[in-house]
Amino acid sequence: MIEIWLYLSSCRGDIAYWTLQHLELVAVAMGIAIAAGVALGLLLTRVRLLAAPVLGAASVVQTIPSIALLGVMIPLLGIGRTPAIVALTLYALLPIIRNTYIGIKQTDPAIVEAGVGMGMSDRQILLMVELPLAVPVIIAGIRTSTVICVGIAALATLIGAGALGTPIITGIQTYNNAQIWAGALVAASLALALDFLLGRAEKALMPRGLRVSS
Amino acid sequence: MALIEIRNLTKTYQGGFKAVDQVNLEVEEGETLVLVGTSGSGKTTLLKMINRLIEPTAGEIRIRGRDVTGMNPIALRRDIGYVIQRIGLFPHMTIEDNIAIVPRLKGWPRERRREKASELLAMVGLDPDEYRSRFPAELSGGQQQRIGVARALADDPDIILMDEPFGALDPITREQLQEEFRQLKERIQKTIIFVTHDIFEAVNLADRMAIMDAGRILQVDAPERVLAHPADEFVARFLGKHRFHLQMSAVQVRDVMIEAPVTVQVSEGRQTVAQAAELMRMHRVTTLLAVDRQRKLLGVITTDAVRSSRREAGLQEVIAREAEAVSPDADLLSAIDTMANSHYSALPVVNGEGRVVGILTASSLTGVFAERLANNREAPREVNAAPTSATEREAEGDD
Repeated sequence: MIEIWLYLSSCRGDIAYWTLQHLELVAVAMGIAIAAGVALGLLLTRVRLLAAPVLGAASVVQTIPSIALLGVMIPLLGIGRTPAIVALTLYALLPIIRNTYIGIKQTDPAIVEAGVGMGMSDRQILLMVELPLAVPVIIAGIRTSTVICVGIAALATLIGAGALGTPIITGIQTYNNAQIWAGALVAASLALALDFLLGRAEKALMPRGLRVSS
Repeated sequence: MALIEIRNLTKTYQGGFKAVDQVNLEVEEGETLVLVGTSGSGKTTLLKMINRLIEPTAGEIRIRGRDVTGMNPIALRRDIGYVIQRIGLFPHMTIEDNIAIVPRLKGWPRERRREKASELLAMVGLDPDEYRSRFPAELSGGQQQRIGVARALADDPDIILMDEPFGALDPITREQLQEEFRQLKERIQKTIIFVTHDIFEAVNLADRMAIMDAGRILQVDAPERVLAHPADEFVARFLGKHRFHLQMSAVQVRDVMIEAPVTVQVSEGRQTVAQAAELMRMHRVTTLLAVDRQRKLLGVITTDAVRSSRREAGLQEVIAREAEAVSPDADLLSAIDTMANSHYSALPVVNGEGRVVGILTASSLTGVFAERLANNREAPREVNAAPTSATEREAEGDD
């Protein structure tokens, strides 16, 4: 314990740098994944034929071991941040696409029928009714993706993208347990913190009408 | 020209199933037309073709002479009120926002939308201050459907389509909403097309009803006329054993009451039982209605009460003050019910101010039954499943 603490305090600067790198990888990857995932999820609700193949493809990506996916990126995109971000984005996509699709699809058909019957356009149904009602489900998907991303970003150091994997890998190579633990603890805390924050966001963005009960 | 004209309307689904088959129908401005039939009869499909939620395969629907297929469906739907069985309020919006959804789609300013929502909340009997900021989940089913009706009225449409609006409510709430709806439709004078599978609801609410089966309309007419003269065996069978009962519920007390009942104005002083007896003999009645100077009902005086008291006794003593009365707007069925539960053979009819306007007696009812049953016999045999009461047997013996 003390050794971990000593390591953390002596290498504060490095740790802070790796943490920022880590956050940056996750933030960029999540930004792309949210934009693309929500858009794809919405597209699937409008073009139902695409739903099975797209969700299938996203699931397949998720079954590829993360180290392998990172490795596959090297011949395509070289090493460094770009391939790491692409790989993280691919991992983050599935929960977001799936939750967006399910969140919209589970809207009570009676509500949609009432909306259409009153003269709402498809776009108005989506923006005024379906999307607000699906927000909690979509955020739950984002939360899952974020936690996955924080974990996998620790491997990004293997393709030269730095981040909190760096002290862990170095620690393994030099038999420095304190260093391994320090990297792992910081990465885990990061995941927990982000999960907590998104959990709060999920509650805050839940439409008020869905929180009340008779 | 009728407000809505439907010509040769047909909806054929893949595989050749005809949900609606060559339907012709005209709906007059201001009337409530009820489409009634079993499930699968095509009534909901017909309704949904009017606001183009379902597109017809053939035929046309004209509103004020304009073919709806030539109109923008979104604009068309915004001009037609729509109420569905499963209510479909938006759970994330307040009651106020739910009611004012069509005005919002039409771009009304916020203030005007709020005013309209309050006005409509009051119209459906919910206190605006209490309910406007609540959410649908905080309301009971009956309250939610009141909001569903208010929402359909928000932009003051000429036409309102209602698809089994009270079908999902419990029986007591349903009856309450039907009664409120009856009063509301008198007040708003809209053209309403109402779908139901409940023949009682249809008879109760319709100005005219259209009986549907297998995609066709078998008969369109006022409920009393359909009940009295079913067009064919199917209609007769559909009305079934409830027919007599329905006929009675389609009749209002005012239509069958005796309008000039024998009354006696009771004053403070010296009237005696002998005078009442004399009045009864003169008019050959068994019941007198005791009234005050304003013709307000005090009670009834029966021959039994007169016989069993001394002739010189005060009139006040023989008035049965606990006797029940009915309103002229009540349906005959409930009046008969009241009569059966009271101790008297006649039922006073009083208006909203408590003034006597008529009387229902057992003998006047016998006449009504006889007339209806005589009508029924012109229709196919199968129909004669009305309850065999003593009155009915007498009526049949008459000819």
